[in-house]
Amino acid sequence: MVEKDLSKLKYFINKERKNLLLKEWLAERLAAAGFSSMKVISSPTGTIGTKIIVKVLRPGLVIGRRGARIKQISEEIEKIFGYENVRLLVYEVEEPELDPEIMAWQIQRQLLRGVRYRRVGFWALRVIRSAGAAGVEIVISGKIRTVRSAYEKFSSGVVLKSGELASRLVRTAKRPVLTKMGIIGVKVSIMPISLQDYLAMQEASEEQEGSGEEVAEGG
Amino acid sequence: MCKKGVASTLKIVIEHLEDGLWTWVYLEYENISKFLGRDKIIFTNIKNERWMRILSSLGEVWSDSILDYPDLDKLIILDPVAEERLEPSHVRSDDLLVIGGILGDYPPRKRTYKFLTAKLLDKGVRTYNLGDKIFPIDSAALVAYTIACGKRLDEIEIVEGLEIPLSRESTLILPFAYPVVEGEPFIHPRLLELLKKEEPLNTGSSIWLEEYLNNKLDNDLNV
Repeated sequence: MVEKDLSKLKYFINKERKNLLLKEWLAERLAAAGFSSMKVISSPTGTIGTKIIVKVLRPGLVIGRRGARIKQISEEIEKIFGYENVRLLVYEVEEPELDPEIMAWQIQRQLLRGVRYRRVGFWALRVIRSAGAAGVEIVISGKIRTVRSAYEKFSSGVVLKSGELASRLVRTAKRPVLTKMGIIGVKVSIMPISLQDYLAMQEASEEQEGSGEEVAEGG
Repeated sequence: MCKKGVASTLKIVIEHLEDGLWTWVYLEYENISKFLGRDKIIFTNIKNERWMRILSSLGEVWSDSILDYPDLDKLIILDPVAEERLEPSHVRSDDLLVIGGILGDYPPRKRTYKFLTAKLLDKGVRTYNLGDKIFPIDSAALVAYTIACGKRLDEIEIVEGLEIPLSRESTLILPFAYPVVEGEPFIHPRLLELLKKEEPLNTGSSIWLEEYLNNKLDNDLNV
Protein backbone atom coordinates (compact mmCIF):
# COMPACT_ATOMS: atom_id res chain seq x y z
CA MET A 1 0.00 0.00 0.00
CA VAL A 2 2.76 2.35 1.02
CA GLU A 3 4.71 1.47 -2.13
CA LYS A 4 1.65 2.22 -4.27
CA ASP A 5 1.21 5.59 -2.56
CA LEU A 6 4.88 6.40 -3.04
CA SER A 7 4.76 5.56 -6.73
CA LYS A 8 1.69 7.81 -7.09
CA LEU A 9 3.57 10.58 -5.31
CA LYS A 10 6.55 10.06 -7.56
CA TYR A 11 4.32 10.20 -10.62
CA PHE A 12 2.84 13.57 -9.65
CA ILE A 13 6.21 15.01 -8.62
CA ASN A 14 7.69 14.00 -11.96
CA LYS A 15 4.70 15.43 -13.80
CA GLU A 16 4.99 18.76 -11.99
CA ARG A 17 8.73 18.84 -12.51
CA LYS A 18 8.28 18.28 -16.22
CA ASN A 19 5.67 21.06 -16.39
CA LEU A 20 7.97 23.41 -14.50
CA LEU A 21 10.85 22.70 -16.86
CA LEU A 22 8.54 23.26 -19.81
CA LYS A 23 7.38 26.56 -18.32
CA GLU A 24 10.98 27.72 -17.88
CA TRP A 25 11.81 26.67 -21.41
CA LEU A 26 8.77 28.43 -22.87
CA ALA A 27 9.48 31.58 -20.86
CA GLU A 28 12.93 31.70 -22.41
CA ARG A 29 11.84 30.67 -25.91
CA LEU A 30 8.90 33.05 -26.04
CA ALA A 31 10.54 35.93 -24.15
CA ALA A 32 10.24 38.29 -27.12
CA ALA A 33 6.53 37.57 -27.39
CA GLY A 34 5.95 38.44 -23.71
CA PHE A 35 5.31 35.05 -22.13
CA SER A 36 2.79 35.13 -19.28
CA SER A 37 1.62 31.63 -18.33
CA MET A 38 1.03 28.12 -19.59
CA LYS A 39 -1.15 25.15 -18.79
CA VAL A 40 -0.71 21.53 -19.84
CA ILE A 41 -3.83 19.43 -20.38
CA SER A 42 -3.21 15.79 -21.12
CA SER A 43 -5.35 12.68 -20.89
CA PRO A 44 -4.16 10.07 -18.36
CA THR A 45 -3.31 7.58 -21.06
CA GLY A 46 -1.93 10.17 -23.44
CA THR A 47 -3.97 8.79 -26.34
CA ILE A 48 -5.63 12.06 -27.35
CA GLY A 49 -2.42 14.04 -27.21
CA THR A 50 -1.30 16.97 -25.09
CA LYS A 51 -2.89 20.38 -25.19
CA ILE A 52 -0.61 23.20 -24.08
CA ILE A 53 -2.30 26.54 -23.54
CA VAL A 54 0.08 29.49 -23.65
CA LYS A 55 -0.76 33.09 -22.81
CA VAL A 56 1.47 35.76 -24.32
CA LEU A 57 1.41 39.48 -24.98
CA ARG A 58 1.99 39.17 -28.74
CA PRO A 59 0.49 35.90 -30.09
CA GLY A 60 1.54 36.75 -33.66
CA LEU A 61 5.18 36.25 -32.75
CA VAL A 62 4.47 32.73 -31.45
CA ILE A 63 2.27 31.70 -34.36
CA GLY A 64 4.61 32.95 -37.09
CA ARG A 65 3.97 33.11 -40.80
CA ARG A 66 1.23 30.62 -41.71
CA GLY A 67 1.73 28.94 -38.36
CA ALA A 68 5.32 27.96 -39.13
CA ARG A 69 6.75 28.98 -35.77
CA ILE A 70 4.01 27.41 -33.65
CA LYS A 71 4.55 24.15 -35.55
CA GLN A 72 8.28 24.33 -34.95
CA ILE A 73 7.84 25.03 -31.22
CA SER A 74 5.34 22.15 -30.89
CA GLU A 75 7.82 19.78 -32.48
CA GLU A 76 10.61 21.01 -30.21
CA ILE A 77 8.42 20.41 -27.14
CA GLU A 78 7.69 16.86 -28.29
CA LYS A 79 11.37 16.23 -28.88
CA ILE A 80 12.77 17.79 -25.70
CA PHE A 81 10.09 16.96 -23.14
CA GLY A 82 8.61 13.78 -24.60
CA TYR A 83 4.99 14.95 -24.76
CA GLU A 84 2.93 13.24 -27.45
CA ASN A 85 0.88 14.93 -30.18
CA VAL A 86 1.38 18.44 -28.81
CA ARG A 87 -1.27 20.99 -29.71
CA LEU A 88 -0.11 24.48 -28.80
CA LEU A 89 -2.95 26.95 -28.25
CA VAL A 90 -1.88 30.58 -28.05
CA TYR A 91 -4.00 33.24 -26.37
CA GLU A 92 -3.41 36.93 -25.93
CA VAL A 93 -3.19 38.18 -22.34
CA GLU A 94 -6.41 40.11 -21.75
CA GLU A 95 -5.14 42.67 -19.27
CA PRO A 96 -1.34 42.76 -19.54
CA GLU A 97 -1.09 45.54 -16.93
CA LEU A 98 -2.59 43.22 -14.32
CA ASP A 99 -0.34 40.31 -15.24
CA PRO A 100 2.74 40.20 -12.96
CA GLU A 101 4.76 38.09 -15.44
CA ILE A 102 4.22 40.64 -18.21
CA MET A 103 4.95 43.60 -15.94
CA ALA A 104 8.11 41.96 -14.55
CA TRP A 105 9.18 41.36 -18.14
CA GLN A 106 8.49 45.01 -19.03
CA ILE A 107 10.55 46.17 -16.02
CA GLN A 108 13.35 43.79 -17.01
CA ARG A 109 13.41 45.22 -20.56
CA GLN A 110 13.54 48.80 -19.35
CA LEU A 111 16.33 48.09 -16.84
CA LEU A 112 18.34 46.39 -19.56
CA ARG A 113 17.88 49.47 -21.70
CA GLY A 114 19.51 51.50 -18.95
CA VAL A 115 16.45 53.32 -17.61
CA ARG A 116 16.90 54.27 -13.96
CA TYR A 117 15.38 51.69 -11.66
CA ARG A 118 13.41 54.20 -9.63
CA ARG A 119 11.81 55.64 -12.74
CA VAL A 120 10.91 52.14 -13.92
CA GLY A 121 9.48 51.25 -10.51
CA PHE A 122 7.20 54.28 -10.36
CA TRP A 123 6.18 53.85 -14.01
CA ALA A 124 5.13 50.22 -13.40
CA LEU A 125 3.34 51.23 -10.21
CA ARG A 126 1.29 53.86 -12.06
CA VAL A 127 0.49 51.58 -15.01
CA ILE A 128 -0.72 48.73 -12.80
CA ARG A 129 -2.79 50.96 -10.54
CA SER A 130 -4.33 52.79 -13.52
CA ALA A 131 -5.42 49.42 -14.91
CA GLY A 132 -7.57 49.01 -11.80
CA ALA A 133 -5.46 46.84 -9.48
CA ALA A 134 -6.41 47.04 -5.82
CA GLY A 135 -2.79 46.83 -4.78
CA VAL A 136 0.70 46.39 -6.15
CA GLU A 137 4.15 45.85 -4.71
CA ILE A 138 7.34 45.94 -6.78
CA VAL A 139 10.68 45.00 -5.24
CA ILE A 140 13.89 45.72 -7.11
CA SER A 141 16.90 44.23 -5.34
CA GLY A 142 20.63 43.85 -5.82
CA LYS A 143 23.36 46.39 -6.45
CA ILE A 144 20.81 48.92 -7.60
CA ARG A 145 22.50 52.11 -6.43
CA THR A 146 26.13 51.53 -5.64
CA VAL A 147 28.43 48.64 -4.99
CA ARG A 148 26.55 47.40 -1.95
CA SER A 149 23.37 45.35 -2.17
CA ALA A 150 20.10 46.92 -1.17
CA TYR A 151 16.51 46.67 -2.25
CA GLU A 152 13.82 49.17 -2.91
CA LYS A 153 10.15 48.52 -2.47
CA PHE A 154 7.52 50.42 -4.46
CA SER A 155 4.01 49.88 -3.20
CA SER A 156 0.57 51.30 -3.64
CA GLY A 157 -2.82 50.11 -2.41
CA VAL A 158 -3.24 46.90 -0.44
CA VAL A 159 -1.43 43.63 -1.15
CA LEU A 160 -2.20 40.73 1.17
CA LYS A 161 0.92 39.05 2.50
CA SER A 162 -0.27 35.88 4.16
CA GLY A 163 -3.16 33.51 4.58
CA GLU A 164 -5.45 31.61 2.27
CA LEU A 165 -6.88 34.78 0.70
CA ALA A 166 -3.40 36.03 -0.20
CA SER A 167 -2.66 32.83 -2.10
CA ARG A 168 -5.97 33.18 -3.96
CA LEU A 169 -5.88 36.90 -4.70
CA VAL A 170 -2.24 37.88 -5.08
CA ARG A 171 -0.24 36.88 -8.14
CA THR A 172 3.53 37.19 -8.03
CA ALA A 173 6.27 36.98 -10.64
CA LYS A 174 10.05 37.17 -10.31
CA ARG A 175 12.64 37.94 -12.94
CA PRO A 176 16.42 38.28 -12.84
CA VAL A 177 18.07 41.10 -14.79
CA LEU A 178 21.75 40.78 -15.62
CA THR A 179 23.37 44.24 -15.52
CA LYS A 180 27.00 45.35 -15.48
CA MET A 181 26.89 45.56 -11.68
CA GLY A 182 25.54 42.04 -11.31
CA ILE A 183 22.16 40.39 -11.12
CA ILE A 184 19.21 42.53 -10.13
CA GLY A 185 16.06 40.80 -8.97
CA VAL A 186 12.61 42.06 -9.91
CA LYS A 187 9.57 40.86 -8.02
CA VAL A 188 6.07 42.03 -8.91
CA SER A 189 3.04 41.21 -6.76
CA ILE A 190 -0.38 42.31 -7.96
CA MET A 191 -3.72 42.06 -6.20
CA PRO A 192 -6.20 42.67 -9.04
CA ILE A 193 -9.35 43.05 -6.93
CA SER A 194 -9.85 44.37 -3.43
CA LEU A 195 -10.75 42.12 -0.53
CA GLN A 196 -14.20 43.76 -0.19
CA ASP A 197 -14.98 43.16 -3.89
CA TYR A 198 -13.79 39.58 -3.64
CA LEU A 199 -15.95 38.88 -0.58
CA ALA A 200 -18.96 40.55 -2.23
CA MET A 201 -18.45 38.39 -5.32
CA GLN A 202 -18.21 35.28 -3.17
CA GLU A 203 -21.39 36.24 -1.34
CA ALA A 204 -23.23 36.91 -4.60
CA SER A 205 -22.17 33.58 -6.10
CA GLU A 206 -23.19 31.74 -2.92
CA GLU A 207 -26.59 33.46 -3.04
CA GLN A 208 -26.96 32.50 -6.69
CA GLU A 209 -26.15 28.88 -5.90
CA GLY A 210 -28.63 28.94 -3.01
CA SER A 211 -31.48 30.35 -5.15
CA GLY A 212 -30.67 27.81 -7.88
CA GLU A 213 -31.06 24.98 -5.40
CA GLU A 214 -34.35 26.38 -4.14
CA VAL A 215 -35.71 26.54 -7.71
CA ALA A 216 -34.57 23.00 -8.33
CA GLU A 217 -36.21 21.82 -5.14
CA GLY A 218 -39.39 23.74 -5.98
CA GLY A 219 -39.54 22.19 -9.50
CA MET B 1 32.84 54.35 24.34
CA CYS B 2 35.10 52.46 26.73
CA LYS B 3 38.77 53.21 26.39
CA LYS B 4 39.98 51.34 29.45
CA GLY B 5 41.59 47.95 29.87
CA VAL B 6 42.13 45.80 26.80
CA ALA B 7 40.29 48.25 24.53
CA SER B 8 42.63 51.12 25.38
CA THR B 9 45.53 49.60 23.46
CA LEU B 10 44.06 47.32 20.82
CA LYS B 11 43.54 48.55 17.28
CA ILE B 12 41.06 47.89 14.53
CA VAL B 13 42.66 46.97 11.22
CA ILE B 14 40.58 47.43 8.08
CA GLU B 15 42.13 45.53 5.19
CA HIS B 16 40.89 47.37 2.11
CA LEU B 17 39.76 44.73 -0.38
CA GLU B 18 37.60 46.72 -2.79
CA ASP B 19 38.86 47.71 -6.24
CA GLY B 20 38.08 51.36 -5.61
CA LEU B 21 37.53 53.77 -2.78
CA TRP B 22 33.78 53.99 -3.29
CA THR B 23 31.66 56.61 -1.58
CA TRP B 24 29.89 54.00 0.45
CA VAL B 25 33.18 52.44 1.64
CA TYR B 26 34.69 55.84 2.39
CA LEU B 27 31.70 56.93 4.47
CA GLU B 28 31.79 53.70 6.46
CA TYR B 29 35.51 54.23 7.12
CA GLU B 30 34.84 57.83 8.15
CA ASN B 31 31.96 56.80 10.40
CA ILE B 32 34.00 54.34 12.45
CA SER B 33 37.03 56.62 12.53
CA LYS B 34 34.98 59.52 13.87
CA PHE B 35 33.37 57.30 16.48
CA LEU B 36 36.38 55.41 17.82
CA GLY B 37 39.00 58.01 17.03
CA ARG B 38 41.73 58.21 14.43
CA ASP B 39 44.28 56.53 16.72
CA LYS B 40 42.23 53.31 16.88
CA ILE B 41 42.09 52.60 13.15
CA ILE B 42 44.67 51.20 10.73
CA PHE B 43 43.89 50.93 7.03
CA THR B 44 45.99 48.29 5.27
CA ASN B 45 46.46 47.25 1.64
CA ILE B 46 46.14 50.85 0.40
CA LYS B 47 48.24 50.88 -2.75
CA ASN B 48 46.98 54.09 -4.29
CA GLU B 49 48.79 57.26 -3.13
CA ARG B 50 45.73 59.44 -3.41
CA TRP B 51 43.70 57.06 -1.26
CA MET B 52 46.56 57.04 1.24
CA ARG B 53 46.34 60.80 1.49
CA ILE B 54 42.55 60.72 1.81
CA LEU B 55 42.50 57.95 4.43
CA SER B 56 45.36 59.37 6.48
CA SER B 57 42.85 61.81 7.98
CA LEU B 58 40.84 58.83 9.25
CA GLY B 59 43.59 56.60 10.63
CA GLU B 60 47.04 55.11 10.18
CA VAL B 61 47.55 53.94 6.58
CA TRP B 62 49.74 51.02 5.49
CA SER B 63 50.39 50.21 1.87
CA ASP B 64 51.20 46.60 2.82
CA SER B 65 48.54 43.99 3.30
CA ILE B 66 47.91 42.62 6.77
CA LEU B 67 48.83 39.25 5.24
CA ASP B 68 52.46 40.42 5.36
CA TYR B 69 52.33 41.39 9.05
CA PRO B 70 55.23 39.65 10.84
CA ASP B 71 53.62 39.04 14.22
CA LEU B 72 50.68 36.84 13.25
CA ASP B 73 49.97 35.91 16.90
CA LYS B 74 48.56 39.37 17.41
CA LEU B 75 46.00 39.12 14.64
CA ILE B 76 42.35 38.27 15.14
CA ILE B 77 40.51 37.95 11.85
CA LEU B 78 36.81 38.61 12.05
CA ASP B 79 35.21 36.45 9.43
CA PRO B 80 31.55 35.35 9.22
CA VAL B 81 32.78 31.91 8.13
CA ALA B 82 34.83 31.34 11.34
CA GLU B 83 33.40 28.67 13.62
CA GLU B 84 33.78 30.35 16.99
CA ARG B 85 32.09 33.55 18.10
CA LEU B 86 34.22 36.44 19.39
CA GLU B 87 34.07 36.74 23.19
CA PRO B 88 35.63 39.43 25.40
CA SER B 89 38.07 36.85 26.80
CA HIS B 90 39.53 36.17 23.33
CA VAL B 91 40.96 39.69 22.98
CA ARG B 92 44.35 40.68 24.40
CA SER B 93 45.51 44.25 24.89
CA ASP B 94 48.02 44.33 22.01
CA ASP B 95 45.81 42.51 19.50
CA LEU B 96 44.85 43.76 16.07
CA LEU B 97 41.21 43.09 15.19
CA VAL B 98 41.17 42.61 11.42
CA ILE B 99 38.06 43.39 9.38
CA GLY B 100 37.73 42.83 5.64
CA GLY B 101 37.19 46.22 3.99
CA ILE B 102 34.72 44.91 1.49
CA LEU B 103 31.13 45.83 0.81
CA GLY B 104 29.12 42.77 1.58
CA ASP B 105 26.73 41.16 -0.81
CA TYR B 106 23.37 39.86 0.20
CA PRO B 107 23.43 36.86 0.34
CA PRO B 108 27.12 36.91 1.36
CA ARG B 109 29.84 35.55 -0.95
CA LYS B 110 32.37 34.73 1.79
CA ARG B 111 35.00 37.03 0.30
CA THR B 112 36.69 37.83 3.63
CA TYR B 113 37.43 34.13 3.89
CA LYS B 114 38.67 33.95 0.31
CA PHE B 115 40.91 37.04 0.45
CA LEU B 116 42.08 36.92 4.07
CA THR B 117 41.33 33.92 6.25
CA ALA B 118 42.14 31.22 3.70
CA LYS B 119 45.61 32.69 3.18
CA LEU B 120 46.46 32.74 6.90
CA LEU B 121 44.60 29.74 8.22
CA ASP B 122 47.54 27.33 8.09
CA LYS B 123 49.72 29.88 9.91
CA GLY B 124 47.64 29.54 13.05
CA VAL B 125 45.92 32.93 12.98
CA ARG B 126 42.92 33.25 15.30
CA THR B 127 39.58 33.71 13.52
CA TYR B 128 36.22 34.48 15.09
CA ASN B 129 32.78 35.44 13.85
CA LEU B 130 30.38 38.15 15.01
CA GLY B 131 27.29 35.96 14.91
CA ASP B 132 25.22 35.08 11.89
CA LYS B 133 24.25 38.63 10.94
CA ILE B 134 25.83 40.57 8.08
CA PHE B 135 27.37 43.82 9.30
CA PRO B 136 28.66 46.74 7.23
CA ILE B 137 32.37 47.52 7.79
CA ASP B 138 31.82 50.30 10.35
CA SER B 139 29.22 48.30 12.26
CA ALA B 140 31.44 45.21 12.35
CA ALA B 141 34.30 47.32 13.71
CA LEU B 142 32.09 48.86 16.38
CA VAL B 143 30.62 45.51 17.44
CA ALA B 144 34.11 43.95 17.65
CA TYR B 145 35.40 46.89 19.67
CA THR B 146 32.39 46.73 22.01
CA ILE B 147 33.07 43.03 22.60
CA ALA B 148 36.72 43.85 23.34
CA CYS B 149 35.39 46.36 25.88
CA GLY B 150 33.81 43.46 27.76
CA LYS B 151 30.27 43.18 26.39
CA ARG B 152 29.07 39.91 24.92
CA LEU B 153 27.53 39.94 21.43
CA ASP B 154 24.04 39.14 22.74
CA GLU B 155 24.24 42.12 25.10
CA ILE B 156 24.73 44.57 22.22
CA GLU B 157 21.57 46.12 20.82
CA ILE B 158 21.40 45.42 17.09
CA VAL B 159 18.78 46.22 14.43
CA GLU B 160 18.46 44.08 11.35
CA GLY B 161 17.27 45.46 8.02
CA LEU B 162 17.25 49.24 7.91
CA GLU B 163 14.18 50.73 6.22
CA ILE B 164 14.61 54.22 4.80
CA PRO B 165 11.33 55.75 3.65
CA LEU B 166 11.92 57.71 0.45
CA SER B 167 8.40 58.74 -0.45
CA ARG B 168 4.82 57.69 0.23
CA GLU B 169 5.18 54.85 -2.25
CA SER B 170 8.79 53.75 -1.96
CA THR B 171 11.12 52.46 0.73
CA LEU B 172 14.78 51.58 0.49
CA ILE B 173 15.79 48.58 2.57
CA LEU B 174 19.36 47.77 3.55
CA PRO B 175 19.41 44.09 4.51
CA PHE B 176 22.28 44.40 7.00
CA ALA B 177 22.66 44.55 10.78
CA TYR B 178 23.50 47.77 12.60
CA PRO B 179 24.39 48.27 16.28
CA VAL B 180 22.25 50.88 18.00
CA VAL B 181 24.08 53.95 19.30
CA GLU B 182 22.06 56.45 21.33
CA GLY B 183 18.82 55.02 20.01
CA GLU B 184 19.82 55.23 16.32
CA PRO B 185 21.34 52.63 13.97
CA PHE B 186 25.09 53.17 13.52
CA ILE B 187 25.20 54.58 9.99
CA HIS B 188 26.82 57.71 8.58
CA PRO B 189 24.16 60.47 8.32
CA ARG B 190 25.62 61.56 4.98
CA LEU B 191 25.18 58.04 3.65
CA LEU B 192 21.49 58.22 4.54
CA GLU B 193 21.27 61.55 2.68
CA LEU B 194 23.01 60.07 -0.33
CA LEU B 195 20.77 57.01 -0.41
CA LYS B 196 17.71 59.24 -0.66
CA LYS B 197 19.00 60.77 -3.88
CA GLU B 198 18.72 58.84 -7.10
CA GLU B 199 21.97 57.83 -8.71
CA PRO B 200 22.48 56.07 -12.05
CA LEU B 201 22.43 52.29 -11.81
CA ASN B 202 25.98 51.41 -12.67
CA THR B 203 28.22 54.32 -11.83
CA GLY B 204 28.25 54.35 -8.04
CA SER B 205 28.60 57.84 -6.63
CA SER B 206 32.12 58.86 -7.53
CA ILE B 207 31.21 62.44 -8.54
CA TRP B 208 29.57 63.01 -5.20
CA LEU B 209 32.61 61.59 -3.38
CA GLU B 210 34.99 63.86 -5.27
CA GLU B 211 32.95 66.92 -4.32
CA TYR B 212 32.62 65.75 -0.73
CA LEU B 213 36.33 65.07 -0.38
CA ASN B 214 37.35 68.35 -2.03
CA ASN B 215 35.14 70.30 0.36
CA LYS B 216 36.33 68.25 3.29
CA LEU B 217 40.00 68.61 2.42
CA ASP B 218 39.61 72.33 1.75
CA ASN B 219 37.45 73.18 4.73
CA ASP B 220 38.11 70.66 7.50
CA LEU B 221 41.75 69.91 7.02
CA ASN B 222 42.85 73.06 5.29
CA VAL B 223 44.91 71.10 2.76
